[in-house]
Amino acid sequence: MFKPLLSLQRVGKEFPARGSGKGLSYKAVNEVSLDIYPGETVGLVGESGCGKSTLGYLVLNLLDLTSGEILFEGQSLANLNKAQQRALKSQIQIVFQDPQSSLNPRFKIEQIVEEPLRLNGWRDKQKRKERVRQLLDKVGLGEEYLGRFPHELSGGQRQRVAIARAISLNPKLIVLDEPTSALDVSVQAQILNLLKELQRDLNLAFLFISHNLAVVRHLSNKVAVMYYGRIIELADTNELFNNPLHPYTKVLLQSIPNINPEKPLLVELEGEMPTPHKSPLGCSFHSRCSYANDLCREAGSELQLIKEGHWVSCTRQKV
Amino acid sequence: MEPLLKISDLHVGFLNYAGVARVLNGIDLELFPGEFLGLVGESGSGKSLTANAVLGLLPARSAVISKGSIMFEGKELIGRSEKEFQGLRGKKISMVFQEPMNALNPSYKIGKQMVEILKLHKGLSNKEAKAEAVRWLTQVHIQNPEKVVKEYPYELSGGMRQRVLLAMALSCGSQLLLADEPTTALDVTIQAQILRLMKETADQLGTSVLLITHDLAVVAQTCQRVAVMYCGNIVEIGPVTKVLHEPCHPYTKALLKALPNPDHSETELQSIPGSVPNLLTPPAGCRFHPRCDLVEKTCMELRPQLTTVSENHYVACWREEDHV
Repeated sequence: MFKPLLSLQRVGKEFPARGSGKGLSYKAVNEVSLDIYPGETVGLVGESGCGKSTLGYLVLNLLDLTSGEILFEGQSLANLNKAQQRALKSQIQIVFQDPQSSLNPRFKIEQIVEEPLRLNGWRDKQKRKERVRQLLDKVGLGEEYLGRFPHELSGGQRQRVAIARAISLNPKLIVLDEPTSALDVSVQAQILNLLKELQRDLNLAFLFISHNLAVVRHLSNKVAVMYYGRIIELADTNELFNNPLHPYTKVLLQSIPNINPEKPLLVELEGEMPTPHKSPLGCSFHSRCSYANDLCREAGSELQLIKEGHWVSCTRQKV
Repeated sequence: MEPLLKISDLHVGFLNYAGVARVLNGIDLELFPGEFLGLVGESGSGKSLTANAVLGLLPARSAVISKGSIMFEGKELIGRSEKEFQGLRGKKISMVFQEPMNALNPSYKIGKQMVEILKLHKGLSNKEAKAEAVRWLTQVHIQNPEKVVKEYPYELSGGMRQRVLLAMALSCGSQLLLADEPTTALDVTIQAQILRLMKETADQLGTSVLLITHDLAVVAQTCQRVAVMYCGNIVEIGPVTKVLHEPCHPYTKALLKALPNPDHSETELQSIPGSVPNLLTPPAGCRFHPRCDLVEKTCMELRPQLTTVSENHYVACWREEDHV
């Protein structure tokens, strides 16, 4: 049996509320448990504000946990000293949504990709340069890009640079936070193919955060659906898309516009996510759910295993 | 039927230090009353620019309309003064933008922004305009409109803001709505709500809509006809069912193949090789030829014109008869 590479155990993150809700706090991430195995892609989907990016930052140890624990290769991320933290950071990397703002505009491409190497003990300049060339080649950029600045590149090329930088230290896990949302479809296809190829070659695990379900389906082995800070459904990709159990997952899948005009948008969700200040009792989805009963309004449900590899948190699903 | 909007042979260039970038290279487009027309293409293909040209919003210093005409209700728009455009914008032709937070004034309450245009274009009194604003917010399914008019844009969610913009765009009885990526910044569930609302309200009022988007699926769900743009040209135009299911232009085909399908996951997506050319030195002939599989000598020399493939379906490609 494989051991998980990354294991989230009842992870929670609270932020203090500002303004009218002063003194209160709201839970951006609430009791999330999730395992990622080496070489697999876990898709994390949900609407804006559901906590998916916050979860990504927690994995990267960029934010402190309020509760729960994150284990990377069996070791807790909390209470690490500086040296351990740095060693860990080379194992977990991130690619952000907008390469325009994640690349330093004053650095040349060579410097951008070289920086993590320089900071992590690659003393030999010649070797560093060699490695940068190799990395750029891996993401499909030629040597002529070494001396260019980010503004001289197209969006897709910039995202390739960001990916080259992320894989420079041979990480085991990459958090991909909406890596193709800012790109056109034809370029998106290039980047998705590149990511798949790198995953095969380098045995990378991905935590793939996106609101685009079609893209998630294309890349992921497993998909977790988040709503209001919680994972409400988790299953293998095909199982989730073919047999969604949570009412929210169902409407989410039905809301994707289909390229076939004969398949119109059928159901749609009324209303919006509850505000973080007034978190509803019971199941957080009950205010928009057409099946809500008294149990949903008062108690809600924990995430439970319904069948092999399919977890769902809904009172209507009986084990 | 007379088209409401008729753009013919529109050429727009931008002057910059390196010369003239020919960003619109002979656009022909007709929009009929009550019709939903989708305008799709990648960034930089000139979709938004076409809409901005209709509203007279091109930057006066750098943009040059070198040729062509834009007829709205049978009258020429090119060459009109800023003052004449002001009488049109928001009254006869309105626009909804991608980012509703940037389109609303952050320091005015929603009510004030709505009342402003109602007073200007419809000559209503303050009191009448307020009542009208509330009525329009109800029309776009905003709950508690009396409360929303007293709120600032930052207090609303993205979906609500887009509803407000839609209400503002339609409140003065526009015949033409230019919607520039109206749902790109929204989540899928909210996108579905806004698309349905747009369709419902526009149908009810008989408004024509030019829907600019890069999302072919959105077009499939809302529009009757679609025009595909590449590098300042319309390469294919026709009924949605035809263009998306029996595409004729190699670019349209490639675009459809690059799309991940939510219904099943293939192993490899097909991407289009190469990238969009530099518009300062666009390729001669067909602008798509450097990236096209079917390229032949004519493609590199002569620009293809839109020709009929079937009823209402036109394509600009020299090799069109070879792959129908």
